Amino acid sequence: MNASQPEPAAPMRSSPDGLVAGSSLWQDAWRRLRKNKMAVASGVVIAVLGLACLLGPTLLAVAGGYDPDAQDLAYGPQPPSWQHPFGTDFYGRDLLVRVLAGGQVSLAVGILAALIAALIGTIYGAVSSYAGGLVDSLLMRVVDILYALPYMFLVIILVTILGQSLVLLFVALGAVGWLLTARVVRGQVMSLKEQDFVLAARSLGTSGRDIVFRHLIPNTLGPVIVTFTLTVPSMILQEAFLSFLGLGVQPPHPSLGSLINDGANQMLVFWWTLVFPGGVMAVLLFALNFLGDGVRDALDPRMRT
Amino acid sequence: MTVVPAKAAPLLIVDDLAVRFPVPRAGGWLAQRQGEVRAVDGVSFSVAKGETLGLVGESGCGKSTTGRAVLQLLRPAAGKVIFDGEPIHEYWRRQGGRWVWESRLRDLRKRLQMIFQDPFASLNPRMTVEAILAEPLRNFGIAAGSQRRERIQQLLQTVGMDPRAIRRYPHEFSGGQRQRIGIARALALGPDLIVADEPISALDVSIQAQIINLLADLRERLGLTLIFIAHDLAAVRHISDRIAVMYLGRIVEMAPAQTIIDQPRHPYTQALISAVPLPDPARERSRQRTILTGELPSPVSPPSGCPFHTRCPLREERCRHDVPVLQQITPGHQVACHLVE
Ligand SMILES: Nc1ncnc2c1ncn2[C@@H]1O[C@H](COP(=O)(O)OP(=O)(O)OP(=O)(O)O)[C@@H](O)[C@H]1O
Ligand SMILES: [Mg+2]
Repeated sequence: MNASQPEPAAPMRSSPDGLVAGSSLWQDAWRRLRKNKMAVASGVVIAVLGLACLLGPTLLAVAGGYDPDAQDLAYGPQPPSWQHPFGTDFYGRDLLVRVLAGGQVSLAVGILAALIAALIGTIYGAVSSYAGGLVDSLLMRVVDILYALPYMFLVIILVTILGQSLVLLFVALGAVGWLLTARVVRGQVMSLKEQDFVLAARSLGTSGRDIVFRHLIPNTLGPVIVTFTLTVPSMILQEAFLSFLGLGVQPPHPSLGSLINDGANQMLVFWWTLVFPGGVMAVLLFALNFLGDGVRDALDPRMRT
Repeated sequence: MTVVPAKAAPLLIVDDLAVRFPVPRAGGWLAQRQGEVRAVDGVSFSVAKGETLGLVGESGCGKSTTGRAVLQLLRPAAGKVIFDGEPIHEYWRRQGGRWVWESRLRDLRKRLQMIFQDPFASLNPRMTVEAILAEPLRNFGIAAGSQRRERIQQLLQTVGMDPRAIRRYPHEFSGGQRQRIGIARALALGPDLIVADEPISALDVSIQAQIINLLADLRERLGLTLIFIAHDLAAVRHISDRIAVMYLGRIVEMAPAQTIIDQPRHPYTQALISAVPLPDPARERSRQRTILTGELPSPVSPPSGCPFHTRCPLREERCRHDVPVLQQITPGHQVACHLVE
């Protein structure tokens, strides 16, 4: 047989420059994700909620003069009506605007904190695992110790030391929340670095830094994205909890957590003050979790249970 | 088959090479390095320029480890590896508690390459063919931009692949095509010595011949020196000039390929030959078979004396105590067995 005779290849799609277009594992995953109805529906819900939270308060302020923070004590709490679809709270503030403004804060804190966690965790885990040996042991002991400490306790200490501001809030949450990502990434890299393509890279003279950033980290992105999508809702919950403790977003600015807290105090009398923020929070968390599951299945079809 | 002039200066000399791996024993945090695997133990051979040496043995006998230690992908515990006159086993330095390459060893990556067994694990699934083949070129600053792409497309043509495929990902190819990509990657830097570690054993039988032929063809065209690793003789007999048979980290017999096939002297080689069917049915029927019994001993606690004595049908008392050394019995034919004069 002639050595230069290629085997029959899979059907090739040509692109304009005459090269054959490839489809990456990311593109395959995207195709699978789009077939998952639950995930698509969740994505749409998140997009709609996100847009509403992002634009809603401004639009309502311009169009109808709704202000999430301005009080009208004389007006007081009113049940849902056409003018105030979610009703008003104890101080006479429109609840719809407050829920949207609160959602903005919660989403921003959740996403930014999860991003920080993913970034720190990925680099930490990959470097630790690739370095191996004593370095790895030391770095992972640090993670173990942080893990053993009560998580909320750390956040509370950080918030207390750093002072209360929105930026510091998600820095504090992210700075503590990377532990899971670090462990996930380290586990991945442990098995990845034994694979032949890493040995091949070494044999080709690739530097350690390039091996970590070009070979190892791109191959952990799947689990990192999954961890990220599932970290967002947990960060949102934690922000809610902090607000509940009075350590989160400061009044009069709302967050979903503080709204729920206020609502819980008066739910027997003014039911709408709990039901609407709680409902939005629940829908958001469900959608984020379904999307996270969908992303996981799409990135690794074998992981589907 | 290339006929190698007997006097050609060897490109590679391996002398008394040893590789050991620590095996952590049970017993908690601080109990480390109490045992070790002697994965490779006192291996010596040389390979002439343009020659192909077959390295054969059962799974776990240390073939891959030998190949990696030769290329300095693993640091040998002992012994010498002289490549083109350079003692490359010395080109290591300690940095932060571990051994790293000196820069001259990194430069030698251009001349020392490897082809891997598993065409799936050896290509990064997140990289396009272009990125995979660009990596070695980028590492050494060879060609750039459109020139680099041309280089990559040439490489693909060299291994018999469609050069338009550079945008595609490894998972879009069959095993044989992936192996071709792996070969193209090994060729990218223009190496002199390639260790091919079981390059066909993971492939369909129908594809194996294609890859062997490709390697044989490239060897002629590019003047490559090959160490071709396989676990059975059938795979290496046609491509190798000489064959070395390994058992438990040692070479037990080494001779020109035809001599190993026709006149195997070590009982272990004879057993391996028995496993290869002969083309002539009359000879196939009449020949004596040596059947291996028993398990391969663990390299953590190898047997005393001759490492093969636990499974040898011809063993004698002295085989239990004395380690046989590799001796030349006829020019170019070396055997490590007490029963061979
Ligand atoms: N990184 C490692 N750590 C510990 N032990 C190892 C390591 N690599 C190899 N070994 C051991 O060294 C011995 C030789 O392994 P090696 O992979 O070289 O065998 P091989 O002949 O290539 O086998 P195969 O045909 O399965 O590829 C085996 O006992 C193996 O368990
Ligand atoms: Mg092997």
